[in-house]
Order: sequence, then structure tokens, then C-alpha cells
Amino acid sequence: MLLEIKDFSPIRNNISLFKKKDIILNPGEIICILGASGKGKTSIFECIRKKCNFEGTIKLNSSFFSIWQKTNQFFPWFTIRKNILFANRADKKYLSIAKRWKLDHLLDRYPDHVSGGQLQRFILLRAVISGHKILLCDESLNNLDSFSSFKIANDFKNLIKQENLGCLWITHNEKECKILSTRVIKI
Amino acid sequence: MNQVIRYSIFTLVIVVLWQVSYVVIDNAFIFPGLIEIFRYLIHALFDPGNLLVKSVKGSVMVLFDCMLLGIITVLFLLIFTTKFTIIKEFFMYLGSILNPVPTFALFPIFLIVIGYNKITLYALTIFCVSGFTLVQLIGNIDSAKNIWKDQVENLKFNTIQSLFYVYLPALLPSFVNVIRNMFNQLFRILFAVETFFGLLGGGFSLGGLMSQYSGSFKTTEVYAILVLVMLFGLIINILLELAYRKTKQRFKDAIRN
Repeated sequence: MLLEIKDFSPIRNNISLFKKKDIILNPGEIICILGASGKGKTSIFECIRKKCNFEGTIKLNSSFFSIWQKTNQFFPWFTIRKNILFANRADKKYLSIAKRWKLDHLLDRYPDHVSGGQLQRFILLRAVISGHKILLCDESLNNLDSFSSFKIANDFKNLIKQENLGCLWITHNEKECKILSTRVIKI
Repeated sequence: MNQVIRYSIFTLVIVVLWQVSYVVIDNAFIFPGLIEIFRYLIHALFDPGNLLVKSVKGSVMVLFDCMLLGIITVLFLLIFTTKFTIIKEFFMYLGSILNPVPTFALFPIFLIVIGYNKITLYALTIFCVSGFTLVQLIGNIDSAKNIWKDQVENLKFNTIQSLFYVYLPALLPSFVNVIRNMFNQLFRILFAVETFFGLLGGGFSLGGLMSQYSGSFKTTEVYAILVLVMLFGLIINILLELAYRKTKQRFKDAIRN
């Protein structure tokens, strides 16, 4: 078990954002947290990162790596390769994944010299090779077209199983949920 | 139309207007022609013994000293303002009070307290940069921290790594911009001080020379110094603007999300 969350609800302005939930994340699983905007999905990650008050308990049995939609992910003054290596210098696995995703020819470009969709894929790639067992992904396929997101979602799911990682995936997209998830938690 | 061509045309228009005005006014004592002005400048600048050359050296050395002191002061104060919130708040408050006050207006007080010497100029520089320049930099640092701190935490960077990999590159374009603003501020103040008070601590200065020539009714020389000061300011601004664009191209405008 990588992560155990019991009787959990985030608190903002002394108000619980949703009904208490239990979440248990095991290796090889992707748990999708599905809900409309403003329901408090992102607050779950903020509570795991200890940036927000909450009720209940959160027990982490491994370190985590996060991907957020809204903040800058890659440093624009370093190449994509350098940005990936910041997460894990020792692991060369990123080369084979980049080749499989047909992105290897872009590794030495700067982040603003690739499309938003390509950059999103690199962000996911970096998360997978980061060496952390728990991945917290917040709406990470938003910039992709439906064909690309289907392919990447499948590849990502296989990688998670292969590497024995666990992933909490926030989305408001039910189709994305169907492709990716081992289990779904609705908020 | 290309910007260089546009600006060249504008410069040509100004030159033509000047020469037309010179012909219309027809009094070189009040309004000399550009040919006379540049003739004097070229003659004076290529004569090492000429007062103009000595004055240029004097003024540029003082400006260079004050710029260096300004940068060191700002960096020194930044260490404390980033470490201690209360010190940061104090300087933000100080900046908001000092900003509307023309620095030159306080200069007589500096003279009375410190005296008629170069230390007064250095004190003026420190006073100048501790206000607006420091506040601008503090704002940029806060912006960079807000944007990048999550990623720094995510990648588990230590302080040295976050400084060299993240915050210094993120802030470099704004540092160049701040230096440009600092130069413009100090350039104006120091020239004004020189014009009215000469070069404190002795020696020749452009402002002092201009004041001297003005008192001796050497109008062509006065205009020539003015043109030289304008050209100097323009060249430095162009160089700093180019530096800012290059750093922004390389390091992006990464403190605005």
C-alpha cells in the first residue's frame, strides 16, 4: 500500500469541502478522482502536500511527485532533456519512453519550441521516471487532442503497471477516466 | 517599415528642423547650427588636453563608481530583505515614502550633513537605490518565488540548486531592466548635481563644464555638451535594451506567469 487516506475531507474557511472519503492506493493502480470544477479535487493534493487543512488521516508510505495543470512545469531556460534529468539523473529510461512516444528528436529543444501537447507528454514522462512511487496528476492530458490523449493515456497506464507506481489522477473528463482508471472516486 | 529605418528618418527630420531653425533665428549666439556643434565636438574630443575630454573622463568615472556602489548596495540589502520579512516590509514602506520625493531636492541636506565631497555623491546613490530600485527588485523576487516555489519543492532542490537553477535565471532579465532604470536615475541626478555644484571632490565634470561655458556665453560649447550627454545616455540605453532583450530571449520573461 503506497497511500492510505481515511475519513478524509479538506477544510477551507472552517468548512469541509466534501463528504468524507477513504482512498487506498496500491502499486500498479491509477485512481481517478472525478468531479466538476470547484468541488475540491485539487485540495486533496494540497492536503497531501501539507498546504491545506483537512479532517481525517493521510498516511504516505512512499515519496510523491506532482504534476499540476496551472503552474509552470518546465524551466524555459533549460532544454527538455535537462528538465527531465532534474527529476532523475541516474535513470536513462526516459530515452526509451521518449522514443516510443516519438518525442526523442525533441529532447534538445527548449520547452517553448515544442507544442503544448508535446510538452504535456514530456511532463508525464518526467513524472514516471522521477523515482517516486506515488504520482499526483492534476488534469494532465488537458492540452492533448482526443486521439493523442487516448494513446498517451494507454501508454501511461501500462508504464504505471510496469514500474509498479501508484497514481492519483484528477480529472473532470469521464472518457479519460474510463481509459486510465483502475478505480474511480467521485466528488 | 523597419524600426531602424523609421528612427533614421525621425533623426533626419530633427536634423532638418534644427538647421531650418538655425537659419530662421539667424543668431548663432542663441541657436548654433549642428555643423558648428559637431565641428567643435570632433575637434575637442580628439584633443586629449582639451577640457571636454577631461570632463568626460571625470563624469564617466563618477557615474561608473556610483553604478557599482548602487549594484553592491542593492545586492547587500537584498540578502537581508529576502531573509527577514520585517526588513523587507520596512524597505517597501521606505520606498513608498521616498518614491515621490525628487532625490535632487534632498541634495542640499546631504551637503550640509556630509560636506562638499565625493562621499555626498555616494550617499546620494545609496539613498536613490534603496528606494525605487530595491522595491522593484523585491517585487520581482516575490513574483519569481510565487511562480517557481512549487516546482522547486517538487524537484527537491536545496537552496543552492534553487538559486542557480531557478531563481537567478528567472530574475536575470529583470536584473538587467533594473540596472537600466538605475542608470537612468543616477545619470539624471549626477548630471544635475554636477551642473549646479561641479564635481564634488575636485576635478572636471561635464555638468560643471557646461555651467562654466554657460557663464562665459560660449553657446556652441554648451549645446555641444548637451548633445554629447544625450548621445551618451542614448547609447547606454540602447546597449542595456539589447542586453535586456537577449537575456529575455534566453531566459524568458519567467516572473510573469
